[in-house]
Amino acid sequence: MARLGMVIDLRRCIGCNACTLACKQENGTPEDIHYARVITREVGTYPATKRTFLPVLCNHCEDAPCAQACPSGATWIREDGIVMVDRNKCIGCRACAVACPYMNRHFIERGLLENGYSTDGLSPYEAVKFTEFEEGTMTKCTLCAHRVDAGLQPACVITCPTDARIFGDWDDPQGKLQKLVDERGGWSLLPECKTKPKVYYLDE
Amino acid sequence: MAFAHAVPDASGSRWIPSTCGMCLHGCGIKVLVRDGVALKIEGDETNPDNLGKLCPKGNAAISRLYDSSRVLTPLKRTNPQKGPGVDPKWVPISWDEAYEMAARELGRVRQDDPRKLLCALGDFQRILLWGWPAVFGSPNFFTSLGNYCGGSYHPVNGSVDGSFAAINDYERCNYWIQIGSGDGFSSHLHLSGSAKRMADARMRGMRVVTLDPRCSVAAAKADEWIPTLPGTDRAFVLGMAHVLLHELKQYDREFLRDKTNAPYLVKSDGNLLRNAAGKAMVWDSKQNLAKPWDEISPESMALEGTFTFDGNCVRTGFQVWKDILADHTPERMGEICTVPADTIRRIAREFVEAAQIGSTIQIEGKTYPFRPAALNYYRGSQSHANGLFDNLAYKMFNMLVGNIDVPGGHLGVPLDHRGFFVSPGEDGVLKPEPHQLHPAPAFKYPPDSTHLMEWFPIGFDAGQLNTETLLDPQRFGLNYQPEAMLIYHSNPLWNLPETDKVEQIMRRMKFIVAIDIQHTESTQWADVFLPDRTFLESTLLNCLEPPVVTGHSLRQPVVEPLGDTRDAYDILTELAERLGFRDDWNDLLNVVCGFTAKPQYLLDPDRRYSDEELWDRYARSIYGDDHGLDWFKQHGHAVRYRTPEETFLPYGDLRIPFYFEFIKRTGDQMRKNLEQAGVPNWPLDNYQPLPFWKNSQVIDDGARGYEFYAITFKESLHTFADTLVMPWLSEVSEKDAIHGGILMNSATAGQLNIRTGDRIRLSSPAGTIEGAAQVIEGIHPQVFGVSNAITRSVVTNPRVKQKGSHFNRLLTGSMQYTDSATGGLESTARVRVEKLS
Amino acid sequence: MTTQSIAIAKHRFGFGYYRQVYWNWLIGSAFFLGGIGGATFLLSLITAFRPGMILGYLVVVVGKNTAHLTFLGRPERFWRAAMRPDRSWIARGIWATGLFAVSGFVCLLPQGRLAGWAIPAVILSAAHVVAMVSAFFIMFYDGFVMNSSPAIAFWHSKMLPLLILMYASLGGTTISLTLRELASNDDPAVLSQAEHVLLVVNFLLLAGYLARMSRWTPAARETVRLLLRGPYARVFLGLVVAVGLLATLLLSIVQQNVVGAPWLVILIALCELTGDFALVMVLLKSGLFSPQSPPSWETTRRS
Ligand SMILES: Nc1nc2c(c(=O)[nH]1)N[C@H]1C(S)=C(S)[C@@H](COP(=O)(O)OP(=O)(O)OC[C@H]3O[C@@H](n4cnc5c(=O)[nH]c(N)nc54)[C@H](O)[C@@H]3O)O[C@H]1N2
Ligand SMILES: Nc1nc2c(c(=O)[nH]1)N[C@H]1C(S)=C(S)[C@@H](COP(=O)(O)OP(=O)(O)OC[C@H]3O[C@@H](n4cnc5c(=O)[nH]c(N)nc54)[C@H](O)[C@@H]3O)O[C@H]1N2
Ligand code: SF4
Ligand code: SF4
Ligand code: SF4
Ligand code: SF4
Ligand code: SF4
Ligand SMILES: [Mo]
Repeated sequence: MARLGMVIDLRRCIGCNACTLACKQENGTPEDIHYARVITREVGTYPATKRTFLPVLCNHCEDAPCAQACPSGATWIREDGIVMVDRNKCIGCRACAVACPYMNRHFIERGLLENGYSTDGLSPYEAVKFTEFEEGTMTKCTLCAHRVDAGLQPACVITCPTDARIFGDWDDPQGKLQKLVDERGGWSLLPECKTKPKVYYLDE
Repeated sequence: MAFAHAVPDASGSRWIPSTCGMCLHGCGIKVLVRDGVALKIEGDETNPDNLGKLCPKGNAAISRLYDSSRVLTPLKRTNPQKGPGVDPKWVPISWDEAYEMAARELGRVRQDDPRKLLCALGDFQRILLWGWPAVFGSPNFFTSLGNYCGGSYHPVNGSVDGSFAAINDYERCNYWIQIGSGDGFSSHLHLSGSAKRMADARMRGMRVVTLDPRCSVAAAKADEWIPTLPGTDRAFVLGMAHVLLHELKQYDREFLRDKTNAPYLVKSDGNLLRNAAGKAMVWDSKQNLAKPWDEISPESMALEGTFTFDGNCVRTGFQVWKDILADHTPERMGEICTVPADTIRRIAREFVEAAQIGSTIQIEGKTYPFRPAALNYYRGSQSHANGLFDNLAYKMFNMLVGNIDVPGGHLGVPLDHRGFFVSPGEDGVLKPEPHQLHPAPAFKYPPDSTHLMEWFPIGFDAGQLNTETLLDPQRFGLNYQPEAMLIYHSNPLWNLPETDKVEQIMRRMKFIVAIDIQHTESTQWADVFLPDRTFLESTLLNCLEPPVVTGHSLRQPVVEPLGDTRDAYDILTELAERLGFRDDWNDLLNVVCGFTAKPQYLLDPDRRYSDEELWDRYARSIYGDDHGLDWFKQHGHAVRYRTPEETFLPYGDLRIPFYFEFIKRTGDQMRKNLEQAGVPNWPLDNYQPLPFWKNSQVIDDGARGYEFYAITFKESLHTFADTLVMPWLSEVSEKDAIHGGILMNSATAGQLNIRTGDRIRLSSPAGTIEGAAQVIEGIHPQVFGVSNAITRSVVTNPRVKQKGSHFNRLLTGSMQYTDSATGGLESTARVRVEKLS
Repeated sequence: MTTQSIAIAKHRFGFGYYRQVYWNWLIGSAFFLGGIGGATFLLSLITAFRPGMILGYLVVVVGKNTAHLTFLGRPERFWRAAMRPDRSWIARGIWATGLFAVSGFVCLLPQGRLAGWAIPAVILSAAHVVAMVSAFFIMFYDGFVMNSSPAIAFWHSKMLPLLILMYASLGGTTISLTLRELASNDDPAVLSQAEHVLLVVNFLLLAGYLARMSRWTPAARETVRLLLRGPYARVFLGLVVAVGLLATLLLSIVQQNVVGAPWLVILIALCELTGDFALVMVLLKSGLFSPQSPPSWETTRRS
């Protein structure tokens, strides 16, 4: 059984947001919805200061509170551990959004799909992409399940100019993920939430 | 290597190889198209340039293709009133009507005096079209463009090793000093691939030290960030040179002696000592006498020393610089750039130790010197009024450790596939190639060009001078007044200093024609708008400043062009035809495309060629007849890594300049020319053979009560302010504090009682800007920072939020703020600050 | 490096605490109405006070459900909310509400007859039991709904369901009391004593909750700060504490011992219910997600 996930190497990452935009164009998400993001922050005081970059996406938690909270069963977990939302079952109650500690649930408000980013309705691209969404339902990062199923890596991974995002299978004995974490020490976000994320980070 | 994805898959979609055009560099891409709709752009992993990677802008290109801000049909202005914020009241017209109008008006100007056309061309990828104004008959360049960045940079690169740009050896460098540049982190050369190479280098332990007044990404990711005052980085580097020459006495003597003209003897007047035959002389330290440079064994050639020759005192070029640097102590230099002297000393020592002077490396069976330490720099560090000195200092500091174009070191980057422009010049030294974009202009008085290009024999096109010359033409003997303007892929109103003056000039234009894909501050003044196609709808063979690769990448239409647009090449060709100079246009293309050297590809002056025909010929002329456009359409590109032979020691047996005598001589000639012409008060003080510290006008402005500095910068999400109008990108960048307003240091903010969000006003000697303060830690306390991409005034998409602070209003476009030798503009300003609310 | 305090992030690209923005006043209303409706029904059922039962029933079945349905992105699929009672408190709540709607309806039938059909006694008593249990469940399950999110530390406490339950009881008591005073004027002293006790107990519970939270995670501490000194202090201290608890207590003492006017009764109810609703809203709004940061950013003080 696969446990798909990612390791993000903060030493490599330059906070460029290529991942953010790659995800945007892969999934064609509506306005202001970004599955991949980079949390940017200044730490320290001048001159001992740094800008730090923390790329995030759904952690595809093993103990996913979003799935726990979902009353309709719309949020479901694939065999390979990818946390999915079935938009046809979603009732738009947003319990999952309240339950996800990582802000990785995105609600499609009413009217959001009527206009794309243009000032004159949907572009041909959006007309295709928006068929994947439904107003009043929840959407989220699928770890690019459609790509993974086609044997490809997630969009944010292949575009990352610094190869900071490494995709793989935690259960693969020859896999890179466990090896990297063993070598460099890895951690996940908000361990106190006991969600068992499958996205790990390597220190700067 | 066939492009695997060019084949349709079961769902009817297919991947089409092409080239990104979201910035000038042109990474390899492939575009997924289904039912005529572009659905995804990815990096072409077969292209070694970007290795399948794309930066955020490349990832956002689909949103540009389908952007509702695009202009999709020719437009005619119906509102005779012009000005900022004035609605042109565009009405759609046919191409025929548009061409006719443009040809009529431009024809009138051309008949009268072709110089009366001001041209703002900015399409770096279609650089081969930049000669159109010249064929029209106008020398005028009305845009800051490459001068805002490369004004002094390109001429110095071209003079040192025939390169256009430079980068350090990502693969082998161990100690990388980065000054005022985003290479590998946020901007400059081919970001997507460079970021990968830089990350790999850092992972293998390469140390990065970044000098920047602001905690740029390069600074944030560096092992050490050294904040400097704007325009003073040269002081830091001269201080380090002092340490190497006077304190540590460590430098690559062999390289300097054998590979540069540093040992050549210099007379007290600054000219090289030459014998009767005109040969440059060196000192034979064994026999204690001067000899021609090529009649002596290297071992006895003196690198240092002061000698007496014919009763006169002569010194080697090296000695001259060493003497100049004697008082450039880290203490004195440190005070200028606000860096502790100890830091300058420490970095100098770390650098020279990392350089491993004397070591060699074997690459593909050949032995090269190995110098894994190098200093890289770009716009921020040298786009200053003493930019020539800045560039010379940085290059020469590299030369001190002998790292020019050797493994691990500082590597020239050629303009394009033609490689380095290397040919023998005088005295066994490589011929300087300060001009690579057009032939060096001959001096002329009265000048032909409004930006005085005839007065910058080794410089760039100083577009910023247009404001000074056009508003005061008599002073420069300019004896005509421009009446028309051609704008193509450029936003002069936004990229030039002194926006108000630029407007004044635009107001005088009787006719403006714009070729663009969308409305901009500049095109709003146009009378006719000719809509270009985006890079996803047009054809082109591209190769521009690729840092580690060479070869062309094809841009091809991936979808049917939207609306009723035409390719810029077709537009310019049609205009040439209607204006009656298609033959000359073809002739010019023959030259710039290199067809003159391969006559079988020459364009027939009497025929019109489509864009596809042109690029097909271009492809075949370079790669052979079996590599025409069809081949490229299948394979996407012919890009490969540059070989070691193409990369290392391009100058071969030629020496490179250390003592830049030709610069001094050019200045001397200019002095004569100007005297003859009777031009008073033209500054020539930067025509110096060697760099040293002197204050610039900006630094002196401090004494006029302008306490602070203001700088501008680029980051990865945007190409200039252009892409700010793209909601996909601005939606993300508006959330980053770095694009959040006018950046200022928290301690300064505390003193001035300013908090994030407060409206503040910056006033420079040239103008004022207002905006919201963004208080951060990562900026020098004396510096205010304004992102390049924070404000546009012509924005049609309401989703794009405006911050209202256009940096360039703070800059001055006059000679006082221009490098007198290169024309490079000063891109920082001294400012006063006021809190408004 | 000195420590920097952590602010509330303005968007998901920013670093800091994130506000809970998903559940708005409609959810607040549903929780509020479920609590007071369930309690009113339950109390009235126990005390066999029909008007209270009817009101409580309507508040839950019409009020709470309408609020929920209006909130749903896809109301037409509401029934799906019942799919996963095994893990979701919302689903459990849906079941409870459904059972309540049916059993409560049966309890409300005059003389236990529906359209002339006399409902067998077993069913009637079963309905009573079910209605009681489900009404009780409806009073507090929101507490578990909120509590089950590990994301919002301020909600993630075992005390929350208790607090919600006690507030529901208080609200139900207030409504029953008011109805009785206005309708029949028969005022069982036990109810008003219960009201006083509940006011005091809730005050203590609230204080205890905040005290506990201020020693809980940094995010919980930050919420406490928001409630006591931050932007929600006015609502929390003013409406929840001053109006909802203190003024209510004071006025009801006055009401019982000095003047016994109907307007005062209404005023007391308004005060209490305002405090009750304000508490639910303020709980929803002040919920914070913790900042996401690498351990290396921990030079920062989580204020
Ligand atoms: N993402 C992106 N890439 C680009 C472009 C773009 O618009 N966006 N444009 C392309 C073009 S045309 C160019 S010219 C290059 C420019 O590429 P760069 O030179 O890398 O870019 P800039 O951001 O203009 O300047 C680099 C740095 O200089 C700093 N700086 C400003 N003043 C000073 C100073 O006085 N001293 C020092 N030490 N630093 C200073 C700025 O804070 C900034 O971090 O990038 C090219 N690539
Ligand atoms: N404040 C500030 N100003 C700067 C800089 C800075 O860092 N800060 N950088 C300076 C530098 S280094 C440079 S090189 C200049 C660049 O200055 P410009 O050359 O003016 O650069 P852009 O803003 O890219 O302008 C190009 C215009 O081309 C249009 N365009 C885009 N794609 C196409 C296309 O496919 N076809 C056509 N026909 N038009 C197209 C867009 O509308 C855009 O407005 O700016 C300089 N100005
Ligand atoms: S694309 Fe890669 S380098 Fe850029 S922000 Fe995302 S993870 Fe970091
Ligand atoms: S990160 Fe959030 S959305 Fe993703 S699985 Fe975990 S809880 Fe669910
Ligand atoms: S919003 Fe949809 S996915 Fe989320 S909990 Fe409700 S039903 Fe499940
Ligand atoms: S894995 Fe796919 S969906 Fe998830 S963030 Fe990356 S690109 Fe977006
Ligand atoms: S660096 Fe330039 S050419 Fe390459 S992907 Fe980014 S915008 Fe496109
Ligand atoms: Mo530039």
